[in-house]
Amino acid sequence: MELFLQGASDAFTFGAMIAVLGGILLGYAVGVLPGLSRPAALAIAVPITYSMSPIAAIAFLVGVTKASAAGGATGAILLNTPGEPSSAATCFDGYPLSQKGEATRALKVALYTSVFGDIVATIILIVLAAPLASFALKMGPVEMTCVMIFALTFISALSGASISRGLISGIFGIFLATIGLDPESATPRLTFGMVELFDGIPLMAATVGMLAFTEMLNQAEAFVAKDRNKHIKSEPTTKEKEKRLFWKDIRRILPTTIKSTGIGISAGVIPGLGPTIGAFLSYAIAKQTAREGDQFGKGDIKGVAASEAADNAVLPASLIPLFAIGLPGSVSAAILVAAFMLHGVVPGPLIFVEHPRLIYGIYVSMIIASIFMLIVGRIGLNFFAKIASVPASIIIPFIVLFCTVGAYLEADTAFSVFAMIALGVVGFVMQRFGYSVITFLIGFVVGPLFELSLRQALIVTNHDVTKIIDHPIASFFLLAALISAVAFLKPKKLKWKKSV
Amino acid sequence: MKPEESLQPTLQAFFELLIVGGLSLVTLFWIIPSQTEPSDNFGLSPSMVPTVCVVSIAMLAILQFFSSFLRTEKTDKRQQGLGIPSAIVASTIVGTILIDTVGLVTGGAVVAVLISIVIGERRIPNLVTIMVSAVFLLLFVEWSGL
Repeated sequence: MELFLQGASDAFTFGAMIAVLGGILLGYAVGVLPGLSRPAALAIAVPITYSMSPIAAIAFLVGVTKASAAGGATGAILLNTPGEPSSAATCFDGYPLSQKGEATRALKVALYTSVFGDIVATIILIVLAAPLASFALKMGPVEMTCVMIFALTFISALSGASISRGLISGIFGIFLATIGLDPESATPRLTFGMVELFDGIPLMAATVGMLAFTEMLNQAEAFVAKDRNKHIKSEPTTKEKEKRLFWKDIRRILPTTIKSTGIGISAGVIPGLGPTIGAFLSYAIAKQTAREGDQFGKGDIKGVAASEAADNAVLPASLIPLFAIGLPGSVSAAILVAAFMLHGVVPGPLIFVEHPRLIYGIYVSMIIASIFMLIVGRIGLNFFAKIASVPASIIIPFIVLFCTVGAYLEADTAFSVFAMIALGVVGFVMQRFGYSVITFLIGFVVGPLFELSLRQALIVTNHDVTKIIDHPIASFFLLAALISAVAFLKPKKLKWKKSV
Repeated sequence: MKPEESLQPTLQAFFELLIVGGLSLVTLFWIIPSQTEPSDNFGLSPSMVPTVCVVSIAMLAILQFFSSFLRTEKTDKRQQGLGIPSAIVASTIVGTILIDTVGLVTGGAVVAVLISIVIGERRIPNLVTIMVSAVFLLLFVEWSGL
């Protein structure tokens, strides 16, 4: 208790508080601007912390990470342009809400559920770090493969009217994710001799190209065709009723928020899943378990709550294996490892013995960061909402500019931009034929990890699939995937029968 | 139901099968073999996962084709051209080349102005405002190191 109080007093020093606030402001700026990714911003922010104390440095970086996750929703809701790949799932319902004139409501839901997911995950981190980390330790490649299959099963949940088109989109995403060096032999695969493709198609280029650039192509076409009312968001709502969140709204989204926070925590604890998969999986589950009257994909606040709560729950949860066994659960956590090392602290089991005061200080700083995130987000809410009143003739050129610059800044080469443009065109064609670009992205994100886990699992089981029975966790996830698939196919089947 | 309405989804499904199936075959028999090397390592061949993906896509395309006969699917009848999207893609490519050769600020500003022109903006003051805003924004990005 004495150590906890000492850590808390460190966190409440002026320097640490300013560091958290600075991190939150920077994180929000990075999150709101599309194309500027969280890991990139975090990597750039690490050198800024050279002169800071360890507690202030980690608090600053935690602030950047948390706020960029929350800020990413702003672009997703107002412009259908996620500031972060993990906020892409927020587009599904956030943007339709914005088009219906309920942008402020959507932003409020995103903020409150983000803070909720973040605080709950932080508490889980504080209370259950050791036991949950020991669970994560049991996850071998066989288990990871089954978790991936479980995640991939939900690809279909996000597809449109045709399941086969949805699956084609998802598998196409996995296929494009195989481009690059082979994970086992490190030989170039499908690279056409281009060195830039050795690391695969850049994730940011794929996300920005498939979502934002494709959307701008559609919007520009609609704008020129004077179909402005349908496609272009011009004015935010002026009706107070549509801006406020009522008790019935909170009651409606609370179960989804709690469930999604749990999914986000799981995605954070399991190394490698990360916020993007967590958010997409959470959205898919929420859509899958939708009740009568829910309008997922057409502008439902439950959809925004599902993706945002999960997205923000990932980071604190990803620190559980990091603190307990030194294994980062996400890219952001991996960058935090570098920051820890920079300040002479090695994350791992010994951190609780060697630096207990620092750990408790970080815990308290994380709670402070959540509170600052709520305050900054709430104060800036109306300001961000005003972006929706900017005419399309301004929005389209600047979003294309953000797409171009964002893709360029990822690697400082034109290659990323050309990849972004190419994928934007592919996305445009896919949409014309009714193929889901979102399903494609899920496959693309899950692809590399799935392939790696599958290869390792086959080696572990000696290419004998029946040995999966020896892995209870893997069997559980496989069974869950099967049940999910059956449950998902049921309503589609009924719909098909009706149409016939 | 008018004859052309019932014909359209079937024709679309046929073309869809032709494109997706054709691309799958090209990838399966030409791209994958020429762009992957066999590995002696214990485990999976580098071409296995891409091959499985392509075969699955081809099979699903066939399934999609046949299912289109059974399902009445509402299609978007609105005719949309490719002129504006093509012009936007071309403008972005021009801007990207300029970013790579001249610099981020110049190339970025050109992207913003060209896109504005493509979507119909012809007023000089508006175009100047967009260009100046883009320049300041990109200068900030360069200055901040983001």
